[in-house]
Amino acid sequence: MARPVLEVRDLRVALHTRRGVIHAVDGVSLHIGPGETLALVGESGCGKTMTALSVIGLIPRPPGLIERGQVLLNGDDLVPKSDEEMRKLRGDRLGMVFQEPMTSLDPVFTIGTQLVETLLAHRDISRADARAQAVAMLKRVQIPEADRRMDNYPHEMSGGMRQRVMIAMALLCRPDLLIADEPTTALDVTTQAQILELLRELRGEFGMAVLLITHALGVVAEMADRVAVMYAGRVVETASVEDVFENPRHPYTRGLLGSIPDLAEGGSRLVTIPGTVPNLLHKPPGCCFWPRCPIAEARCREGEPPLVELVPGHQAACWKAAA
Amino acid sequence: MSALVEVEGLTKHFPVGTVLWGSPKRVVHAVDDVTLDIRPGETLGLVGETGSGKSTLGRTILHLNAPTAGVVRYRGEDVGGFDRAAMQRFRSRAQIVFQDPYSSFDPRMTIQDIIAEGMVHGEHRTRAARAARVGALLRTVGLGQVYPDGYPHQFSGGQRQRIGIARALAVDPEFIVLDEPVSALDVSVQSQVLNLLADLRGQFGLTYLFISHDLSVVRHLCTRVAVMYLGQIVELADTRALFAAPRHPYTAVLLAALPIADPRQRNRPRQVLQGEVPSPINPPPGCRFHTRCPRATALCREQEPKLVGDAVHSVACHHA
Repeated sequence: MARPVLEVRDLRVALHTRRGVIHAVDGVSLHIGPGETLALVGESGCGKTMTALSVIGLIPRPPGLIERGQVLLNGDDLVPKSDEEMRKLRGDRLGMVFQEPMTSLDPVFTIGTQLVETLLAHRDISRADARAQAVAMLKRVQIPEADRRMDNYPHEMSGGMRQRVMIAMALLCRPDLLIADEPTTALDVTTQAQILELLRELRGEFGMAVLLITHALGVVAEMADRVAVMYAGRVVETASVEDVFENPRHPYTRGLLGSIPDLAEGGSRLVTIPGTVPNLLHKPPGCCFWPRCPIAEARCREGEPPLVELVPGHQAACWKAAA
Repeated sequence: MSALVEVEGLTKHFPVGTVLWGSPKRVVHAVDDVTLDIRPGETLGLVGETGSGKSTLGRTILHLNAPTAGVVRYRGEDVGGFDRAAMQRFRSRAQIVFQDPYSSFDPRMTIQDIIAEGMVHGEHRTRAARAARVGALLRTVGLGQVYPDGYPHQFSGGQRQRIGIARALAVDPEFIVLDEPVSALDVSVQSQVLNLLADLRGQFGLTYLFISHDLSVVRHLCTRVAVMYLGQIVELADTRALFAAPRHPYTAVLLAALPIADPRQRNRPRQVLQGEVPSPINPPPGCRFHTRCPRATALCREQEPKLVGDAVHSVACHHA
């Protein structure tokens, strides 16, 4: 196997709140190879965005603190890096696309200025060259009349257009790793289909590794090579996308898949996961999922199940999956 | 079968850039000449993308927005002609549940008061009677364990949506407009609320207008579906018929755009709709979809297609 572009080892992130310390990310390990897309899946509050923010060095400090673990980008650990060093990496080796482009783009500068400044910050080129590269990238993400659009402010564009601009900005320096945090969640289905199509094309063209964070299992099935399912700050299952959809081993993954109102069969009752995600301040002892788990038994309340390999490439953290 | 709600030529325009006197220069055509029936006991899905006018249509049907033109009849009576007393009766028959109940609750009111607020008439005059009724409603929506003296911020999104449903049920309605009721919820909680809505429909014989941008949810819950584009209904059909054989090109594109939760189908050929929804301030002439339609012809650019068909399936397209 080629050396992974991104390797996260045993990452633990604490958030110090007024009511106590919570571990939003608790011993997470991941790896993504060149050209590979890993989807990080889970419900609100499971720690997927905190994992991504740790990778790009944007954990707010305080209250956040990386207590242990490594984030290796091409073998180079990012955790000990200074803010200045991380700033150089972001936008260059690390590209980022977030859910709401309006909050990631600066409202007082034209998108042209923002694209050109990104290039000038990372590359030793003239302003004219930077502008030419920015226009070329806008064309590549299929923004009509790219030259004229350079002078637009973010609010003059639609949500779909703004997301294309974000993608253009993320890819300007040809990053090794693209982190896409809910990139289509705020968009309508037809726009979502356009953006997913664009990401698929660009991924092939640029050969970058992609960390895709989403709660939408349909998007996962369309985009991911491998999947890591998170629950309460931990990875509870990880496998190839086919294995996760066809042979899920963790009861939480099975519950998530059963909750999708399936296009194929209307009218039947949906499988539900009773209850809600645990409050991380009061994590249940043992397996975090047992209070909602349909197959929990005594030992699940006592010991936390480790993530074990069931078959090559397929890991789950469940006592009953391992049995 | 006579309709519970009849909507005829319903139109809602919002002025933009209001001036002190004289008529405003521009209007948003949020809902334009919509005619449809909602049958007793059915769940009619209303789907469309952002800005298609689906929420405005829902609110205008309830006369929460005064219509610019057109008529809404409830059990045959013109809602626009209701006096104060008749309107009050209508308000207890026809309720609404919003996407984010948090912003529709007063944060300083307890759950008890939020749910009981509408119950000032009839048999719930005493505080004790109202408390008993609130307890029963909370059990009905699966919140039997919660403390009715709590405040909205103490509850999770799924619980707040259940509280919003309990509030709507408090006045014994027949008809509920559900405006994106599960869109803000996580999938596991979304499925709980969808199951609850299906149960309540059976238990109380409710009629729903279910507004959503999520076609898979609509397919799951609804008996009929209306598809909106730029303020107009472009297709209206039984759920099964619509999903099996969509007749409007826009509906076909919407269905094709849905991600499929099956990795083995990811390499299927995709038809991706180009461009964006035009502005509702200046909607295209003729068929409003012609600017993005793969089948558009000269006729579509000139003449607006009417919604035609039978009780099972109707469509507004020259080429359907």
